[in-house]
Amino acid sequence: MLKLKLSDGELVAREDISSGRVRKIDNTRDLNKSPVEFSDGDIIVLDFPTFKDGRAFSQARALRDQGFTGDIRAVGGLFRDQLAFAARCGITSFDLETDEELEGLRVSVGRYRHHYQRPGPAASAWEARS
Amino acid sequence: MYHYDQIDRDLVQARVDEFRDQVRRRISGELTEDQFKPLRLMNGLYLQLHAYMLRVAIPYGTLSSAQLRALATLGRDYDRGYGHVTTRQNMQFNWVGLGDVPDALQLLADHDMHAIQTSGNTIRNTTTDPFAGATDEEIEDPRVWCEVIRQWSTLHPEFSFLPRKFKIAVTAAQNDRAATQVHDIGLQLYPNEDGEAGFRVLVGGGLGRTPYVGELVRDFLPKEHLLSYLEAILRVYNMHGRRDNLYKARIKILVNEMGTEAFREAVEEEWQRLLALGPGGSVDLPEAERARIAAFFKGPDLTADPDGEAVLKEARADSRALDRWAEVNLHPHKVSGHAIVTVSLKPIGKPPGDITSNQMDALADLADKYGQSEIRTTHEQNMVLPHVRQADIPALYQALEEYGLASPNAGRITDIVACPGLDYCNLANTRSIPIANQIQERFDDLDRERTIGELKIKISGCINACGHHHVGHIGILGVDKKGEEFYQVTLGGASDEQAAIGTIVGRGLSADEVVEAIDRLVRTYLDIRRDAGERFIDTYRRLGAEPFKEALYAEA
Repeated sequence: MLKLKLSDGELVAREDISSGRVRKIDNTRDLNKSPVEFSDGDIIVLDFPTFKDGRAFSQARALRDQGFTGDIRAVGGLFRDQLAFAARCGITSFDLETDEELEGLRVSVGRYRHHYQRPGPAASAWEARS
Repeated sequence: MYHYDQIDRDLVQARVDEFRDQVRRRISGELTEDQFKPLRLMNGLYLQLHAYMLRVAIPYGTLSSAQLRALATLGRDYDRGYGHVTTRQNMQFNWVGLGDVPDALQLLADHDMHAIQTSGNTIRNTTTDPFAGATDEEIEDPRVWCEVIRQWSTLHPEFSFLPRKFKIAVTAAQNDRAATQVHDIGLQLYPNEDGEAGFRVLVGGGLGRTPYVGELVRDFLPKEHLLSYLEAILRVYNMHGRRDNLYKARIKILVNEMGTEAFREAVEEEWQRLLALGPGGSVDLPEAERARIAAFFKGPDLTADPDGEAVLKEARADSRALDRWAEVNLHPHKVSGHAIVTVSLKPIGKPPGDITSNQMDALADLADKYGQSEIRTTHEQNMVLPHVRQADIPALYQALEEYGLASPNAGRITDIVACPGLDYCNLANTRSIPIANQIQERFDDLDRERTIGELKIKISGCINACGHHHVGHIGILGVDKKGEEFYQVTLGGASDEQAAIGTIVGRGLSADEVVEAIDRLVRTYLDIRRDAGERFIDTYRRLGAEPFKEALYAEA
């Protein structure tokens, strides 16, 4: 298991020293229809049972839209090319079932300088163009 | 048409670099085929029966002549000298070597093209009216919105791992040439009472093993809210679409299981939430960016030519061949003295939709000479030159003829849509191309074809329905019964503004029986039609399946 977090957009190894409340959320829960209560020190854990199951991407965005500013952690079967998507949806740390090297994952996370859509830490293409 | 800026170019280049790295890791054995599969599928690379197949995106079916030449080069350098136009207006190459794919993608990137999201459980290429920007039937050019959707859907962080693939089509004309009613989302741009354009939004249409005509979810969506509304639909689907069963994972099943009203309410709630984020958080495209994109679609500066019609008329009177071709392969253009030209890729006896690299180069040259350097692909697997002066038509026809591109059959019984079938595809149960060719050969008589008039035959080699058989006036579905190929005939399907799913009329026919049975259907139609102006589909709608059912099984 690889424990990682995003620090200023860079993927780095993570040591768990935080004492935040850890809340694991079932990936079938529609967080806009049935919101969870949270406080900013919480670590909210979202589940990717397989790489094909993209529900937690929507959950992460819902949490950010609702104003959650704490750590959102993705656990499970994400593969390396999905990490940038996860980051743009608001996920900030990862517990990955992978035997890949950190360096390769770092390259993947930083691969795209531009993206077309609004959500995410960087400006969208249309903001960059204006 | 749209031109990439540095941002578009950087993004596509990053994708090529990423895939080059992935292919290197696969070839070196660092990645297993299982690990590689999701990566290649994000780039339109399938593993088929005999080889890898690369599906290139042709956004909303619009190509420049330079892009068509690049596709010709791709076919020549990395395939066997041809490409195949798909029912999603894309082009696929059936014999590409894995090691060559990064170079092929680089060639595409150098010409502002890519293969992103032509496969996988993603938002696929947005399709539209191949006559867009040239027909006077539309309220505005729908490709502006297709390009907006292309950008929004490309590498969308939230919607790249959906329950299943997702297809959007847009039309801005009453006459629906984009099959919007049989798409996951169909968008119909039309003017309201105040003359403002907005979208009618249909959701949950589709073909495949459970065909549906889309449900009306919103009657009038102001254009400026298109992206937030799409985002709301996709979010409801991403969270609630079924993931337990591959065959029930499309949005049509969700809409059906929830009920249209409940689905509409769920979308409305998400949409209101997105709107409430305000300008700072809005996902809707600002007007300035819409205007930037729209400026690319102003279209060529065409000069009206009031004499063009007479020139063409005279030439048609002199040449029966030209006249017969012009009768079906030309459509009215919004500028006088011009025409929209359908270039049929359905010569008798060839795989429907195939075009050789030499033909692509020739067509690109003709587009430069006569057609404002623009070419379209169609979901009926043909190509279109959208802006041709009528006075140039005789010369264009002669040149097309020389390259085997002047089949006079657009919309007719030999203009058959067919999937690649068992000749290429590892999902297929039966062959499609040989059946299409046999039917073509049976009706290879211009006078008879002309008498029959418009008749759309569509053939799928399996229940996945890539050949759109459900919406053929006559649909043919290949099924495998204990190792033998059988063909199930459906009648009365249509994908236009009167969209309907064809009705199965009885037991499957063997490969040997199909052609004769189709011939009997046609003879029956000719006997019972009201007059020469009543098309096959009109007769079917008037009289129902019964008279045809008798014909289909009469002597079998």
